[in-house]
Amino acid sequence: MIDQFWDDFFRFWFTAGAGKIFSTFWYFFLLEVPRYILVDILVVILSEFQEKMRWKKYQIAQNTLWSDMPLISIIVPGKNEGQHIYKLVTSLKEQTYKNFEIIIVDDGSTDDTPIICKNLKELGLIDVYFRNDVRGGKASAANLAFRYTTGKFIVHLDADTSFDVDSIERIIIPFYLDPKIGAVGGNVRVRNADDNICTSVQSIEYMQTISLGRKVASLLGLYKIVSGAFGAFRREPLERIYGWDIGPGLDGDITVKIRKMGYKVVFESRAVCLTNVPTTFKALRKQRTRWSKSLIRFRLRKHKDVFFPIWSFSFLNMFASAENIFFSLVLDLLWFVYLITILISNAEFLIFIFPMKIIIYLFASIISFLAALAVSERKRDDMKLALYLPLMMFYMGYYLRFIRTSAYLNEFFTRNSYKDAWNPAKSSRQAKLNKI
Amino acid sequence: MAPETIGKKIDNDKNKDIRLITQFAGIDIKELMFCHALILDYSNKESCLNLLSAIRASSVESLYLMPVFLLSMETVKDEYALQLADGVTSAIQPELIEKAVEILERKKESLSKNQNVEGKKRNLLKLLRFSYTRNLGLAPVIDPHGRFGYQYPLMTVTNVKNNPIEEVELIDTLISEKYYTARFHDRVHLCRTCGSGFHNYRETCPKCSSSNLKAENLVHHFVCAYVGPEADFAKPDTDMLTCPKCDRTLRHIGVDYDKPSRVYSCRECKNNFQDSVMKTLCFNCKAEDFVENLKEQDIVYLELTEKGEESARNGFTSESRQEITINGFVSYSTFNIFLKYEIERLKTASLVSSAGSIVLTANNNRIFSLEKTNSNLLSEVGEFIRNNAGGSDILSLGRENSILILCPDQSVEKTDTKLQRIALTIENLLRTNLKDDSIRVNYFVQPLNGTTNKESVLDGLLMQRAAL
Repeated sequence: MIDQFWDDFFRFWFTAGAGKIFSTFWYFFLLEVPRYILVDILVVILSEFQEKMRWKKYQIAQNTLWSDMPLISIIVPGKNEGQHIYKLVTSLKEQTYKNFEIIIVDDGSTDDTPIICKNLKELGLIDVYFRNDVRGGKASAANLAFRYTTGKFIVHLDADTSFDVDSIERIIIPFYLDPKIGAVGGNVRVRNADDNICTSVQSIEYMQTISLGRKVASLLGLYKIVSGAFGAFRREPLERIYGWDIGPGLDGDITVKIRKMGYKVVFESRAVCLTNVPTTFKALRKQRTRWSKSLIRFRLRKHKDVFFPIWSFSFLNMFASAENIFFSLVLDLLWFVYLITILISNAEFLIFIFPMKIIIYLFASIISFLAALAVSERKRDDMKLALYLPLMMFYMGYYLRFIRTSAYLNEFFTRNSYKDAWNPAKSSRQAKLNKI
Repeated sequence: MAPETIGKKIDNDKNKDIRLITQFAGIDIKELMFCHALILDYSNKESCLNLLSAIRASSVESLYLMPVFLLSMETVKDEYALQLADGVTSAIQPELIEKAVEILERKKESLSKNQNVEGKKRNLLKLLRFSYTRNLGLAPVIDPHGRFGYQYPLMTVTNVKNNPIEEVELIDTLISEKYYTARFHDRVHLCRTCGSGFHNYRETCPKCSSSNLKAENLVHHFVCAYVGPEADFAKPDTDMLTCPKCDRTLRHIGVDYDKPSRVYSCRECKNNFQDSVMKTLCFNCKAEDFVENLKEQDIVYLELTEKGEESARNGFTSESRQEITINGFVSYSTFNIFLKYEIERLKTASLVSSAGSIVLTANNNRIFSLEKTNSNLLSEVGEFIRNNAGGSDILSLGRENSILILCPDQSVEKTDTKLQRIALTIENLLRTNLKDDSIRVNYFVQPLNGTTNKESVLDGLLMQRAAL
């Protein structure tokens, strides 16, 4: 019976010809292949070439960093992160670059965070520990930490991260490559990839969208999110904007603000940090819904001025936001139109179209994975994830797309990101009142 | 009789030598020794207190126990003076003074003479006798000039070195030796180095220990998420707070801003922190210390116990009991150790042992007192018991005319029979030889096993003595 199906399948597509394949999967060939496959491959080649060309310059920047030996302020805002703090601090103490201060802000934790942090402070493993008994939200915690920093560069970390031994050094070097660089994003990788299918597919996603995707965006000058999990900032731009604004999506927001000031923002793939990702699809949905809502709230509403020819106008900033909105919001909506069209016009051939789609997307996933593998610094570990590639179409093509689109529409029509418990109600109320 | 030149003699029916002293210059307190009572004019407060202190500081019993009254038209608020004096009177009332003198003299009559005690013991006896004759305890009074904020006036005047640590030790001894019981009054914290209770409590920097700190409230502006010390929000010429980030004026705490915590900044080392370290600087010796390291000392009201009264009357008889040595007897502390090991041994083997005591009582307890003349009697009784007890029995002198016996591997019944026989024989012998039918010799027996508590056995045996 299966043999019969495959006979029918191949006969159908041979008869239909390339034209039919193209007209059926135009969305893939016209939009996704150029953006996510061709550009990625091109940029991987270019970036490897560029890195070789800039090797000497990079070495000089590295030497300058070591001769300058600036104090780096590492700030870690968080709530109920007690269990992660010791691991984080230990990983920081292993860094090749050691001239840093660690400032931890406990934003109203209800776990053992105060005891753990006070202990670490007594042991001299952290420099400053502040606690607010009443939660103020992530941005306020980050701003409190920033207010008491004394370093030339500020590194913002999430508490549940740990680092390669040279990560702090790597994330600071770009500032010595170009004085116009205002912020550098680190390469966030998944630490708990082996936990279950949910974390394994996220690990592949992080490889493709962060390790590779952000490298591409950075090379094109379109890099738009310095991750809150691991990002470094020059002090001056942060001082000018007085730190972070209220979230969710505060990392994307601050990146846009820094770009608006005329600073460059780059991604440093060699500055690797590991983080834990959600282990259940329910928790993942919650996280991604929050992230997706920020596209509407910040890119479309708060920073809509990037599209207007005002004093801070920059073509690149406009293009970066436009690219983000187009490929995330517009194409997601278009995809649903495409899906409905296929369902209506080719209803009787769905039995052949769907398997074909799986094959095409699997092929695309493999190419994309190989491209990501090419820039990976953990090739051997990442190779193991290849087993999960067949799931990527369902994960990224359906699961994440549904979550994203639902979140976009929800936020667009109801503005319910202001009700998100991620921020304390008192802050959300004021943000909504002031249309922030 | 005291010289006529001292003060003014107050006439009274009982012909007591009661003097009113209004002129304090040139008084030699030795000349007051033969007075029955004194009335000191409190209007000359300083001189009055000096003389009162000198009287109570004296080591001569007739002086320090002398009834002394203060003459004052106003209420005397000075606790120190009130503690040392026997009362305050606003007018000379000889009949009341006479009465007080008589009461005190009756009490003094019960005090034994020839107490040849020296040094600390003498001071201790003085405290006991003062308390006993006044029927009063020793009360602490606030003392802003003293070392630890409180003083016991009688102790202070007696303790010539004015050493607070020694004073604290003396109080501990008074309580541990059960001359006084303690009733909580207050708790002070004393310097570990010098014992002073006067400290400067300071918040200090955990990094450099400087107390040069600046404490500020943190302000969180909800709209823009800016958080900083209150100074960041201050603007000249206005009391309103303005956000440095978004330039909005802060209007309503809890609605558009709050103050989530407080931050200290050290002006010396620039350290920022939230938990300052509480430290103390001793005003006396300048030693710095953590608050939690200070020595806690309870300030207590001391009430005289029965033992204290007994010691006040008869001196420290029971303490020298352990100095008597009887052949075959072990010291009380050694007995304690044997008892402990015996109970330990019983834990490992299912054996039964027993312990008992033989207690001597008489109407005239001085028969068994440990004055040298009588110690032979106790020794003889001890030797008799030694000879009639089992070879493996362990014997010791107890605290109160009692002899303790530990009988390893002997049942209660066996020990009971043995002690009954010994007690009866001793009682007959003593009654016959001393011709005193009030003499009684009692005995008590307690079983021992692996679960027995050593202290409760000893308490049990010794309590029997108290119950008689």
